[in-house]
Amino acid sequence: MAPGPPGAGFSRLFNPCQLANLPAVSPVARQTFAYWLLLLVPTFGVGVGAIVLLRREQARLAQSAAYTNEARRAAIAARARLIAENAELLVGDVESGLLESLAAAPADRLDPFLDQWEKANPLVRVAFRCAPDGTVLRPVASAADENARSFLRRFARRLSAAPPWGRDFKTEAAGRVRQAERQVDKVGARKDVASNVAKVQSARKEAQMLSQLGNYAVAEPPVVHPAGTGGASSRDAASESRSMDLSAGRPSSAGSAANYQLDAAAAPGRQGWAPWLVDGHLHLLGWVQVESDDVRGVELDLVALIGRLGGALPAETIVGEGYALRDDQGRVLQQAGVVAHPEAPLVRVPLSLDMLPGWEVAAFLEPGPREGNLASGFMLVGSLLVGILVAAIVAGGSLLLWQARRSEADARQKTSFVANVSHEFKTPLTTIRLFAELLEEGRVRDPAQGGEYLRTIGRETQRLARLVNNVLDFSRLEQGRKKYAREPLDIAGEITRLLDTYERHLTEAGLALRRDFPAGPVNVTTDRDAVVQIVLNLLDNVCKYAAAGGEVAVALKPRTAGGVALSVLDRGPGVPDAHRERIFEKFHRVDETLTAERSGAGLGLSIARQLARGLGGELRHEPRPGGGAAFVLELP
Amino acid sequence: MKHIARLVLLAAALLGVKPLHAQSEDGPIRLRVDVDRTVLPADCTGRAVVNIRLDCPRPPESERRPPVNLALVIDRSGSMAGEKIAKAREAALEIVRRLAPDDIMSLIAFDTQVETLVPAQRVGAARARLEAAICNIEPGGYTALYGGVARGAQEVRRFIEDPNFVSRIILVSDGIANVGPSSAEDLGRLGASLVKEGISVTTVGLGLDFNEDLMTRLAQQSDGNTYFAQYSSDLPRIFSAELSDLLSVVARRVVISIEFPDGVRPIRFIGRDGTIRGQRAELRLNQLYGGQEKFALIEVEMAPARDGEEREIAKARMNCEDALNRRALTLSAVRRVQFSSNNDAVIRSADKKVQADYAANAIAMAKDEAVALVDAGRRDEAAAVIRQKAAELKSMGATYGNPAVAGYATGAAPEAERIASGGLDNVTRKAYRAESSQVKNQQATDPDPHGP
Repeated sequence: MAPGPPGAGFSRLFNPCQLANLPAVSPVARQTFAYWLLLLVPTFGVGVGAIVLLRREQARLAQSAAYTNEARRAAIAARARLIAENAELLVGDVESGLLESLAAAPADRLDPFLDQWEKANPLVRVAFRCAPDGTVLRPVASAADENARSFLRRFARRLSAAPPWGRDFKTEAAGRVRQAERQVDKVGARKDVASNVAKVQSARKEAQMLSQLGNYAVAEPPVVHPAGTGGASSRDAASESRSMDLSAGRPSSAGSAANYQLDAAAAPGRQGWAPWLVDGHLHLLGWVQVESDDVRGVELDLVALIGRLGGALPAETIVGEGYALRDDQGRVLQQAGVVAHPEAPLVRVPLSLDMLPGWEVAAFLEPGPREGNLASGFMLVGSLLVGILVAAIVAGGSLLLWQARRSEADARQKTSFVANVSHEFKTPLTTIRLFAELLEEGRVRDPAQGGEYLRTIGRETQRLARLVNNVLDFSRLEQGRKKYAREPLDIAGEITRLLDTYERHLTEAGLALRRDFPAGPVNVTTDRDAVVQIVLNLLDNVCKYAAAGGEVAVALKPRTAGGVALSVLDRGPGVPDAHRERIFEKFHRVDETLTAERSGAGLGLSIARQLARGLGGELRHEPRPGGGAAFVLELP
Repeated sequence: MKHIARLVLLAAALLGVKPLHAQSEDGPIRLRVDVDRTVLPADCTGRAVVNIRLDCPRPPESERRPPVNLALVIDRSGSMAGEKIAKAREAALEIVRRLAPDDIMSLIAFDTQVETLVPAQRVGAARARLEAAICNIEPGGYTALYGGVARGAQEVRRFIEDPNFVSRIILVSDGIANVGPSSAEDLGRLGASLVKEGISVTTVGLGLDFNEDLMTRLAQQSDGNTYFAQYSSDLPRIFSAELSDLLSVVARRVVISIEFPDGVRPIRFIGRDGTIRGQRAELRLNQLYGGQEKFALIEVEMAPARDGEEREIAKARMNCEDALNRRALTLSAVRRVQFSSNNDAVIRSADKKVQADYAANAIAMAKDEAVALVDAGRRDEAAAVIRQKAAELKSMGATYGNPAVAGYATGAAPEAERIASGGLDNVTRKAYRAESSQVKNQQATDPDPHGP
């Protein structure tokens, strides 16, 4: 059995029909099946086992990620609560501080105090004074500044309709602060989480200080009408200046305090805060009623307050976390960290209803790119690795199997080759021995017949020599030891001489030789012996397989690209399509059986092509129009 | 010690020779009360414009300037990418270079969130850190303008206890605030609240996309300067002008109170935002700059007076803190007017400078009104407002023979036509707002050469 090319052997290994028809097939196929079974079963076993383990590990990972995530969410929620508490504390501090200042304001000089306070305290938007029934007494309606006018527009009617001191207020600012402080004490451990204790405390301290009094008020002596200026001084501007040394440190609050002699001992009286929603905006009004006097009040400047509430937010956030302080409309007032999807907070902590109704601290967690994907990523990578391992084992096993099969086939081919060559040698040797014995015994009387016998012996010897040459050449070519002696050569003359010698042999085989040569010499540089060997092998082939065609043509043509093309054409049965290329493979024969009609070793064409390529040319087969085969040798 | 003793002696000698707080004209700051006419028509209820003028000569070079406490708040939202941020960096670096080692500076950048890049500290110790932080500002994200200013204030407050410092926030932004309180009113209120603490906010609007109402309100309410830089190449010059102002502060926490006698009713401040309570008006300025003049115009209604009568029209008192000598300073001034039936005498008595200042502020206010009307889609009315003001000033200029007033009228007339025909484009609107704010605050320099 002559083997096919590597691809053919491989495809045979994977031929499903072969596996399906096992009981009916050869021991070779059975052996192959056994090999496959030994390879595939443990491999897939390992693969499946690995996948099962991977899945279990994935589940474990997913669970641990879920725990981590949950813990993080809980930490964020705790932090948001802490922020809310801190914000409430801050607001509470501001509120109680402002009310304390209000309560301590001197009753006899209330309006100037409120004027001064309003201008100096950044947290005071408007300081007002009302009659107990809610009528606004300050700011007066004729006040020219926009701030006062808008205050009256917003509250004059509302206050007189329903003054907040007319109702019972559940909580007082001071009470709320104490309450909030108690709550924070309870969650003292959480403070560490926020790690901005110092920041919040300093913001609180600052707010407390600020809300007590304005921190910016130039020492302003009581208004004195200088006696001289009213007199008959000139109409030109008279200017006067005085100066006084500022005391070291804070001149402002000291000055103001000195001016207004705050009545620190005054009874706190009733007081409270009322959140009002006017035109969609929140306003915070604080009020104090000292005994049965007018009610003094303050509108807290929320815009200024928001700026300070930033102090309640963490100074630094962990990646992916975000905290926002939002008002009743959901607008972000202050934020720390990333708020990518404001509509979907992780947790919302509303601020105290009686302080800042509708306001809330919202915490956000941006899902990290790794979170959630970690487990499935692990599975993916794991499966990929297992897949690669299984594929590597199967591929490696298959390769070894195929290699083994190929070596086996090679061995079989060589055995078959030796048998073929022996048979080839044996035929001429038998003929030679037969005729030689006849001549030796003197049983040939006719001298003409004796001559014929001798010629036959000669011919068979030549055939034997060619056969030996071919085998030797094959061996050299196989080992890459073949050397070419290139020399300038008139190829037309050389082939003509060869044909002259060989024509008789062709005639004997029943073939008529036609030559189609150009007139004159055709010169190429090539190895003479190799070309002769190629042509002889081609002619031999014709004798062996196409003698029935009765005709052989040898044509020589110069090629347009340079060099020559030598064609050997016959009218034999031709080469079947499936064998067109394979006829040039070593040991390949169209008819593979030893008992075939024609003898041969499957070497002639293989050697001819290898020689042609060795000379830098090519030997190819073409079907001949009108039947038969054409072998074209192209030489450079 | 020797050094200090010598300095004290020198200072005492200087004070002895030329007391800075003297009543005389050569004091560090002069307060004057002027009226648009010193002779008013007799026997009728008329209006007059009182001008309270503060003149601050530039202090001598040798005088040590008060240290500044500056927070530089830079917008690094996505829209600042490219040349804007590059120029802002360049300008910020220039500020760092010009500040003295004893000055305080903090650097805040904001996009969607606010980041304190360098907390408030002495420039001498942090110069390298500030420069590195400025160079590393990279744009991206939204515009948390409110948060940026609030954080700037937070940084300034760290050193606000020390009364020596001139506190200032410089805000550079090219966009519309979209995180946190974002309306012009909210930011105006923030400004009003900050100025109570002595912190002024200077706003620099960059490009054509910022909200000029918000930027001018914030600056105006906090007595800071406002600038409109259409091209980022203007930034270094603007920063330089702002720094010159900041480094020449001569007085802080200025409170001017004006008392009007009976028969003189204050109606309104022209240009500035002051408070009027009964017969008293009050105006607060956060600081006065050396080499500049600030004034406040108040329109008053005069009760009828007889021919030849003389009356006091206003008495002003100013309290401030002398930033150079760290002393409280009080100045006062008074103004009397005469009444006459002689129209020529009234015309002759006109104070042309007061009239010109009035005209500039009247035009600025008319422009503000026009912008509001154009925003409301009432273009024709906007044009009419300016046209009317121009006509009024024109006749005033003619009556009193005041070419400066007539000049303002002539300048305003074509703008009325422009508004009537095409409304206000973005550039003009921004220029109007910035210019109006600069006129009303008597901002010293408008370094924008592209402004109309």
